[in-house]
Amino acid sequence: MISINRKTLALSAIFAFLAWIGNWLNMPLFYGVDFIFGSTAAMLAAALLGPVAATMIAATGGLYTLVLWNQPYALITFTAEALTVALLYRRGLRNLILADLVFWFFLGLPLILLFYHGIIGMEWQSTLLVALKQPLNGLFNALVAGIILLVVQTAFRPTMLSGRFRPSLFELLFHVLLCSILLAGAIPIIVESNAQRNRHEAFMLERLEQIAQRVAADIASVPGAEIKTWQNHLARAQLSPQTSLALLDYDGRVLIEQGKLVAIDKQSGQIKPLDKGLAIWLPYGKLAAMERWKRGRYLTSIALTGVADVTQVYIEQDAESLVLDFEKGRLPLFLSLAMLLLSGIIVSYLLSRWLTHSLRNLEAASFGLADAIGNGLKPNLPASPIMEYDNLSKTLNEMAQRLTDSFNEQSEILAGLERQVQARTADLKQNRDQYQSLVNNIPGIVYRCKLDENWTMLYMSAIVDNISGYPASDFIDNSVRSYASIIHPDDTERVECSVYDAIASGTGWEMEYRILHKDGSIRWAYEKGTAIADIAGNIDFLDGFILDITDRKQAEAALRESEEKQRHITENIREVFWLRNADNDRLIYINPVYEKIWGRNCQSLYDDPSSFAESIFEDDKPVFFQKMSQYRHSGQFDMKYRIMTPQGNIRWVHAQSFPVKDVNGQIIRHAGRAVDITESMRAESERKRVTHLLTSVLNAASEMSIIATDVAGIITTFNPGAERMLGYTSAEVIGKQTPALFHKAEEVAVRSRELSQEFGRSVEGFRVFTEIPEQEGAETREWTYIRKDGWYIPVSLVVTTMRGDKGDITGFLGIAQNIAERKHAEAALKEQSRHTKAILDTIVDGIITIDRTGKIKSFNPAAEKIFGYEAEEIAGRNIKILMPNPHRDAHDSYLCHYQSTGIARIIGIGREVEGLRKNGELFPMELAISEITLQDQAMYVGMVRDITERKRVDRMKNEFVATVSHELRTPLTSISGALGLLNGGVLGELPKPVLEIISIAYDNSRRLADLIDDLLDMEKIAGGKLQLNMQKQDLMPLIEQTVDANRTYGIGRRVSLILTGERPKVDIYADALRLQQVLSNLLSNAIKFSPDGGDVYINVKQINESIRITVTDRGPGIPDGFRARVFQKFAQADASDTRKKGGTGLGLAISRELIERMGGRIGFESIEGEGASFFFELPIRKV
Amino acid sequence: MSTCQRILYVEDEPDIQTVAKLALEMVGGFTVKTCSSGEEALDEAADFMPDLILLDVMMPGMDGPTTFNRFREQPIAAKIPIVFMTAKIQPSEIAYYKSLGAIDVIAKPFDPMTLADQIRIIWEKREQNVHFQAM
Repeated sequence: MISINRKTLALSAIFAFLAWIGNWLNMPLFYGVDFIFGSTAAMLAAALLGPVAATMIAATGGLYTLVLWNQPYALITFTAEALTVALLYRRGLRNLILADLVFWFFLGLPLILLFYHGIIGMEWQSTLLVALKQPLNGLFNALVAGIILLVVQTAFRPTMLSGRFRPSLFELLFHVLLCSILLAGAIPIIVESNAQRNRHEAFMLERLEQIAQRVAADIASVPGAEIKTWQNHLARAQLSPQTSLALLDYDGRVLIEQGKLVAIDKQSGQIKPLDKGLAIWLPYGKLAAMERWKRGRYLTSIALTGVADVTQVYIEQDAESLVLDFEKGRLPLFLSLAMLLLSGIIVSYLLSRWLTHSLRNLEAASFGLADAIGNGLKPNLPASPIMEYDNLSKTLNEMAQRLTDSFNEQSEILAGLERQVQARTADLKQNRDQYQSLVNNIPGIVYRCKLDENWTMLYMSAIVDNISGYPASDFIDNSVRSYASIIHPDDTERVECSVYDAIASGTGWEMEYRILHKDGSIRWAYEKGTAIADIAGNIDFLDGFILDITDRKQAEAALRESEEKQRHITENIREVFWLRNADNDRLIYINPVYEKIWGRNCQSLYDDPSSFAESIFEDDKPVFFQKMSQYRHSGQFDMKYRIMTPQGNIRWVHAQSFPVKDVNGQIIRHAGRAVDITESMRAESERKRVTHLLTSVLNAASEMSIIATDVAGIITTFNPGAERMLGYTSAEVIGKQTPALFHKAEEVAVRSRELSQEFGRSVEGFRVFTEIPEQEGAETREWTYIRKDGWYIPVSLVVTTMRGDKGDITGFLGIAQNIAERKHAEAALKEQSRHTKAILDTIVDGIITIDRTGKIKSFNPAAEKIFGYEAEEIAGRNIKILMPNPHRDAHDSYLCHYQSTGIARIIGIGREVEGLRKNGELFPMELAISEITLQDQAMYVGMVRDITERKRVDRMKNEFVATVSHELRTPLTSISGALGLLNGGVLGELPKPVLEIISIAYDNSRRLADLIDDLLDMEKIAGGKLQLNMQKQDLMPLIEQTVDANRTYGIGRRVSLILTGERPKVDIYADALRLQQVLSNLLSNAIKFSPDGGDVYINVKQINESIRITVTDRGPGIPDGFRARVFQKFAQADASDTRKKGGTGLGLAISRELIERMGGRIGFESIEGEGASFFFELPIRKV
Repeated sequence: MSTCQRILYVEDEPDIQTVAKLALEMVGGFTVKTCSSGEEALDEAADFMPDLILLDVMMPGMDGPTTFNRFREQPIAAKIPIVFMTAKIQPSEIAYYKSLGAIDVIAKPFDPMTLADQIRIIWEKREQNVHFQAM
């Protein structure tokens, strides 16, 4: 397969492009013969990239010839050329021109003859032309490619190109010569070709001018003649149908013509002026240059004078005849060019071969030169007829001769040296043998090793290393084991340190270390060594001496051990001995322990034998002296007393003394000993303290029965708590009874059966209590104790084992607690929970508890009824299945949010929400949730009440109110209208008492109407039917309009409405009518409660992003007790106000609802007795 | 500018009819013709040629909006302005009356002493609108 790398691919693409460009840049070498240069690229590719790439590139470039010549044969020929040349090149014909020549001779020419004559049917002459031109062109391109290659190779030779691309002198010469020959030969030929054409055209011009002048002369000879006559002149002058003539007027228009005028028509062709008034017309269209020329027409004109109207004689003629003549002359030119090329190639080839022949000979001879010199042979380089080569050859010969001589000389010196070395080596060997016998006779080993981690041995004096027991050869070059491997691992580091430290300080080392002997024992080695360095200071190796010092070491160790023992014995004698003389009390001996115990030196006692008594504790001195005086009589001294050392330590000492008598019974000496008993005294006191503590504990645990027994179960301890609990005294039971006395026999029997079964062997009697504690250390069970008086006491009994110092069981301890109260409490708790459950089960509200993740923990029967789930099926599921969306999906996040922030949506608040029954039905419910903490876990308890029924009733009520209100209005309209007319005096003046009554009736009918309006509003709000028409509103006009509308209401009581404050130009988003209703309501309240003649202020103010409208009156204000109810339905501070002030008591409730529905808030400020300010705020609409 | 003098008042409730007629005639000085049903009003309108029709909404048989549409179909009465007078005055209801083409709505119960003024104001407002439209 062809492996194509990226570089080759890129180069191929570039060459293909260049090939195409080269062909596109065709150059008409001779008229009608185009030279194309595409195959230059193909040739380069043939040399550099191989046959495949060259073929592809030639084919790509050849495509242009399809356009140029309208036939595919050139393409085939060029492709074949590239392929052949590339193959030849690869076969070793490294000369593109020769390769190309081979192609053209053997393949190219036959192909051309076949294609052009055989297939196209071209004439022989033209075929020959082509057959000459194509090889010429090809060879020319091969030459160009060859030169390019040479230039490139020369320029990039050393680095980029491999050896096979290196140009040889022969090639260089060949190309240069061929180039020179071609340049020298081709230029005259090309020049001659152009000269030929010029000659043809000059002849054409001459002929045309002759004809034209004849016409001109004819016309001039007969002045004033008619057009017809002129026509005759022209007809006569027209010698052949290829010639056409015309007479032109001033403007170049044709007056008359003879023959077909082709060139005058500028539409179909182009006129190119040539030399001396001659021009050629060439037709447009897709034609080969030669063809175009053939179809062209030569033309010229001459001026005509003296004849009216006619100014020019115009003449044109076909170019064909001229072209045919020209073509005839071209063939010889080509032939000579071809000959030139061929001979040029041959001449260049031969010449360059001849010129390089000597050099090649020289080169061939030089190949063997190095060997010849090396072998001391006389070199022989060929002579050459050319002077320079000959000189070079001679010089080289001479040089080689001298080299050979010096080589021979050196060889002799070397041989001498070798002999010396051999002699010296023999000497050395003798020395070494002597040295060897020396080192074999010394104890220990002499070694030489490398400075590496293995201590690689180079030499070891002994055959067997006595210290390790291994053959020395094992260590040499680490052949079996390394020396490092037999050094005791604990010493490895120390050995390394010693060696390296010594090397670093430039001294030798001396050390002892352990060796692991072959037999497994450890031997001690002594080593002394030094590092051997070269001149540069690099360590070459280490030399040293190793001695087995195991015996010495063992002796040392034994000595050390015995010393240690001695020291140990001395140190461990804790007793002071002494001997005194009986006659003078002088101290004969006291051992040094005295110094340790008393803290005083022995000498002081020798000086003053009674000085030890100075240390005795003051409190103990009297007894001491008493006993001392008694000693004289009894001969016995034995006392424990305290001493105070000079360091301030207090010690207990046990001192004894006795007399030593001679054979006659005469006391001659006193011997004594004293022991430091501080520790045992301290332990004793600690034991007493602990015993005391234990007794206190036992006594204090008055509510606990603590009983200890021995291993057999006999009671050894019986604390006051046990006495209290069981009614026995300790004296009654200790040492006499086992705990079986106060255990219920049936319980013990039951337990005995259980344990027997469990362990598969009989467990009875006291073992019933001890079996488990023995295995597990302790056992807690509930039992029933029987008091002495027969009462039963439930107890929780813990039995533990008591163990001695060695872990053996010494007895058992039973601690029992009266659990009667606990039992009672448990029973009560159970009862309580049954009770609670009963309540939960019967309660009508659903009660659900969930954990912090929302999982349902309990679900009471009412909840089951409400939601339709069974408690069992829903327990453990998430509470959210009881909710419709969006709460269902959001519930987890509600919980999370609450737990992380403590902000509750519903917990502790309670609200109406929708629930979801199992059957998918939605229903309204009231939900209250509280949080409880159970065993440190947050739990939530939800109380659920199904309010479907209540809602239905509410709805019915509201609908009823609506209907009734509407129905009420109709009669009310009549009543109110009729009374209004009467009251208005429309029906004539009424007597004053009648008018008063009518007025009351009218006012009340108005109130009734208002009440109905408010009730309807209320009903709408409650029923959720209130629809607000929220629109963008310009605030101030709305306020002003409302204030104006309410002015009349105050007029009767001389209450003025005064608009104060800023008048911000803002828009709000509100229902205009409802806003006016709210403001009217506040205004009418303010007017109502204002004193006669009082003012009501309306203030509009912008506060941040909202607008506040305040209505202030100077009335009685809001009583403190009423504040909380101001916005409630039917709320009035004073029930009598209803009558006094009018109003339904619904206005503020409605107002609040409306404002809140519009996204605002309403409130008031009031000081009782000083008036009230009611305000509401609405958000400003952003523009 | 034309004046409003003749009012055709359609109301099924005789009491309200009486009160309103009194209020309009005695307080406002209008000439009032009352009808008790939509049918009657449609019959009378051609003879009476009112300047304005005051129309109740809730009536047995043909209700106010139906009557309204029937008036609009009569060539003679088609252009007579109509005002609804009703207790049903929720914003959506008012919007509905106006969408039919009523020039305004008067709420029940009405104030007999100001009813006439109310009508005059409505009339003038409409006259102005018509005037503007004419320009």
